[in-house]
Amino acid sequence: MKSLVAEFYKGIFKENPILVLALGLCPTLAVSTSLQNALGMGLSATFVLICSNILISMFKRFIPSRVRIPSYIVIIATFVTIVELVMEAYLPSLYKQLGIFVPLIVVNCIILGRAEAFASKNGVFASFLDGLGMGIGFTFTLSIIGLIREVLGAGKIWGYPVSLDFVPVLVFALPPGALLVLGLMLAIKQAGDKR
Amino acid sequence: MRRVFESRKGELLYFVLVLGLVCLVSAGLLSFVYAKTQPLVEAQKAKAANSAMYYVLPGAESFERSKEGDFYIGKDKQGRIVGYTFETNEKGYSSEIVLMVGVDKDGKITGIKVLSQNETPGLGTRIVEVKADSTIWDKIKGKEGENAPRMPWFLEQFLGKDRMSLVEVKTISGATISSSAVVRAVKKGLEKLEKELLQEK
Repeated sequence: MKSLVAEFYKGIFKENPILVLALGLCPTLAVSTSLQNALGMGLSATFVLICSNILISMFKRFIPSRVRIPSYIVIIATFVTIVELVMEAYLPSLYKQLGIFVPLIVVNCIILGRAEAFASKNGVFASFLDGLGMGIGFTFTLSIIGLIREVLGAGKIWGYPVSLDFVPVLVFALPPGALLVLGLMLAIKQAGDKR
Repeated sequence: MRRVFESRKGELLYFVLVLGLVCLVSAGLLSFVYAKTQPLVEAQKAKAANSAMYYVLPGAESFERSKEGDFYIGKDKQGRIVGYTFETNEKGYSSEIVLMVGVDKDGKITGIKVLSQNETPGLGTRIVEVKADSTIWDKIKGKEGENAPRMPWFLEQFLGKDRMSLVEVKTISGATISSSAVVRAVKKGLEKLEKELLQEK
């Protein structure tokens, strides 16, 4: 039981996917322009991550290890596309908010990374917890980057201006700003770990 | 059965079988879901485009597709023609910008709406930026600014312009490509509409 709790916990801090495993950096840099985007991407990725972890841990017995990676990619891509189609058809307002992130999730290496490193070796419930923890860690880190970039780069929080006469530092809304903020966060995390 | 798969050749066959099966099931599932959801998705898109038509041509009560051309004719309650709406698009900086434009009978723009765009956040997206009148602190305190959804300030410039006076629209510095793409798209659409209206007469 104790180890199961640890599987959940590790994704949030000790093995945070962005800050420690350095996985999923591409969507991290691309989508963290605002808090709203970051949260949308984080939550969609968490959902897909949990489901793909469950699926992979269920199928792991039937898939020989030498063809596992193409199989995982096909399973994950299929699942993501089904989610996208169903969401677009039945939940159009949610799709409008999250739709652009869904195709990006397929190429999010956290999903394949966890399938490979965890779900293919562990049981269904442990994989579920791993996915949940990793997803929360990803969402949390992404949201902080998004918040910092939105305040500095657009002068806004959640789409509302912080002050009416603040001139934003545009570079933070652009890719260099993403690298700067991410780099500083990595440094802070490292400094904290060293202590 | 087992023994076949233990030989080297059999092992390869097994890989092919598993991978083939995974792909087959995936393809089957996908085409099933796609066939089920596609009509619904099309309906959603049509509905969104439809509400945009009412937005860009105020005063119109019903819309009718033109017989020849690619535009819609907006009519009021008595069935008189109020104006026309059309969709137009142009390549922006990083995406295709799709617009819905409404014009009155004299060819003056009555409304314009961006149906889809995926421009650079903070730069190109300023074509749909709405000028803010209240800060987040006001929002938290419950002080609301104007509640009505307002028009992006860049698009507001188009109102009342026709094909000739379109040059007066000022592009956005820092978003030159995106904003001039919008102008080009509108110009292209107006020219096409004019041509099609002539043909119809």
